[in-house]
Amino acid sequence: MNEVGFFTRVSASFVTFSRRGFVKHKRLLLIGAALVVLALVAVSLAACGSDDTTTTTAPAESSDTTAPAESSDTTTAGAEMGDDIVIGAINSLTGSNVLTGQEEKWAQEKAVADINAKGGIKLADGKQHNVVLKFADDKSQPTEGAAAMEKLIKADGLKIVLSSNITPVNQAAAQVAEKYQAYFHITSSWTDEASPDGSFPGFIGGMDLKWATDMFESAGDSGLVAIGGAKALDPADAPTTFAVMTENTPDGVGFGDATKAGLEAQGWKVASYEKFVEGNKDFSSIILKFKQANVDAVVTLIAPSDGITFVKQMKEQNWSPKYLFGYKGFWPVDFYAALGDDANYISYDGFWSETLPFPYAKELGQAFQDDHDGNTSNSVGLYYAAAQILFTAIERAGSTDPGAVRDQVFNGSFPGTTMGDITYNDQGIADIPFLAFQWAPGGERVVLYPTEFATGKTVTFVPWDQR
Amino acid sequence: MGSLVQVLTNGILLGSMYGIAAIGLSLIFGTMRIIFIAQGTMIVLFAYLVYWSFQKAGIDPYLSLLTVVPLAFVLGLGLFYLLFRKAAALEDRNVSLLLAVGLMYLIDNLILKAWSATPRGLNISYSSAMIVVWGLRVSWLRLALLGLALASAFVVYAFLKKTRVGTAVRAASEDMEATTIQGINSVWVSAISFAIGIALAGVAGVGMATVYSFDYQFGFVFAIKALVALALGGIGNVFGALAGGLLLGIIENLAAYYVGIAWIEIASYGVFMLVLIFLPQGLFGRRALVKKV
Repeated sequence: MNEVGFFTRVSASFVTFSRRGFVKHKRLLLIGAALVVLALVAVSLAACGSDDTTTTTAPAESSDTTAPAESSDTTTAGAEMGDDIVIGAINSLTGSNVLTGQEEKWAQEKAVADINAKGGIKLADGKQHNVVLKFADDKSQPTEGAAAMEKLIKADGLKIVLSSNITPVNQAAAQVAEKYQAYFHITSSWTDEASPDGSFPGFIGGMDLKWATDMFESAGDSGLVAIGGAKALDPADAPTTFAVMTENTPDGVGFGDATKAGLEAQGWKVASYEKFVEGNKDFSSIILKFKQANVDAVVTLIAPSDGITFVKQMKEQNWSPKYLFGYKGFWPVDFYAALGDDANYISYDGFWSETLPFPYAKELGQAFQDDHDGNTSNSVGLYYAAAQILFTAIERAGSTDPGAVRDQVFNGSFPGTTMGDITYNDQGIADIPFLAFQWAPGGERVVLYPTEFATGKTVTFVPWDQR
Repeated sequence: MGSLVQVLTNGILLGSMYGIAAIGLSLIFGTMRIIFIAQGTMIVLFAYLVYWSFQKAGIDPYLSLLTVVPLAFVLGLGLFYLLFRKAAALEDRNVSLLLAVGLMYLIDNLILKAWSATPRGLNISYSSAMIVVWGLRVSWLRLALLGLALASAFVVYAFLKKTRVGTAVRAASEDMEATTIQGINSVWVSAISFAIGIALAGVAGVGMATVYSFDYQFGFVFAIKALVALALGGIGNVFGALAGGLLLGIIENLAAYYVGIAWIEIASYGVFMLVLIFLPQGLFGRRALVKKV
């Protein structure tokens, strides 16, 4: 059948249908249409019946690893219970960063459940106080992060706030906290100071913040884990030519510049350095560019949704570099869930592992698995530790006065957290080392770097057509 | 040379998604004279339905075309009669536009509640299937998407040219008042145009679910891209809208490959502005639609 004949038949069918079907059954179609609209709304509402995106959080449900929280006016030890301590929490409840936001939220709620199960925080009034978190959505955007901080301080009257996990969002929110002299307990934001000549403004460490502290890594050093992971490859499989691809944000460019410089300083060739707009949906030409430049290793900072698209398009193009390392977007549980086995052999950064020899790490990891169908996390220990430190600081301060709590964190030492022993400097910065991971078949996370914590060796990315 | 051909091919394949969405926008604009800003969100909604039917029932995304497209058509009829019937009859088109904006945010948030903000992506067995011709690598999924775009354009074209309802739609897009005087039910004509536009969103939803990752917020960005494609191709021309989509895809890929991926938006919106300044009717649109004052 030729094409003209085919389309003539299609057209004829349309004519017949339009004359007989549309006109005769118009009323029926309209009734059906109304029913479909109503049914879709009903399905949507039914599907969301048990969905929890509330921004106010009561103490989280206890998991198997904790005792139930006290509900009476006294603890089991007989101490009198005071009013709840309400702490603000900015979180990426929606937007491109939602996957990492979900893990942060889980960890913070778990920390609250655990501290409440132990009787809460004891203040100078001699009473024990349960902790309650009040979440505000930053929608993964800096302006919304600032608005969330403003809301928590002005509308909810909160002066102690836990951070989101994106640097630009926390930078924006920190400026609001400074204005209102609220203590902002930041984690997961680049700690870099400004360069001496002022050409690089730095990140949290360069803002001269009086009301914020930060526990994380510097962008300048963050590339070390990608390099460490590459070095753990069998020398025969080691890549030679890298591409650095990053979001075109202050966060991403700081990372990209530092990583490119770090790779070149280690003697690797960086053939391509690409900055893309977050939300980009077509990487095919970039992949082609990488192929033609004989790139055999990619280091990228990319949001989870863009990362999923990038890997899908790599597979479409049947392009398999020896080494693919992603920051920010490759580590959430749902990244693996969305890609399945296609995520195998992809390497990524992380801040924590349940295999680390730190107190409560194993139990926390097990609790996460219990709540997530056996999936593991490489981040929750960091967020949990941040909450642990904040609770300790409040207890040491004996009050919820934001200045008194802040003063406990600046220059403070906090031993025995799920991140090990943490010490803040006089700028309120605590530097922590990153880890390098790789997805192994079955969704197992293998720690590659630092070598003292490694649970396996880096495996070369298996080409798509050999899987 | 080989690179250029591959980049152009990639651009055409990307642009086919924009093209399908732009045809839908063109149809709706033709009769209702509004930029249906919720078109991208409708596409995302159908992408979620495709995703959901694959995950829950294992229905192949392309097989789900058989259910999603009729469902989208009927949903379009329902939305028109529930929301736009009275507004479409008003002289002031802002009411329809505001309704479309409201609908976009309503559906965005229904999706958020129903499926959460977690990005989704379909992982189907043939997602890496390739066709290699003269060294040119083309993903089967993207080729199928181009096929869907071409088929959509031909079907809509045939509908407009060969059916009485289609003739009425064309007449209404020229002069709604004169069409009404001729005894044509203008409400029904607008409803059919709107429903076909939403049915095309169903087609694009299948493409989105198979090729991209998507989340509840992706719709607005996509609607803007479809709008740019429509402006490039020209309003009132089915194949022009498709061509506008393909052209936008090519521009984006050429910019990404030859200048840098950061230049995608600058190049596409720059060309968009230039076309509007020098060819306000678009590259393939009818001059009659743009009146000089």
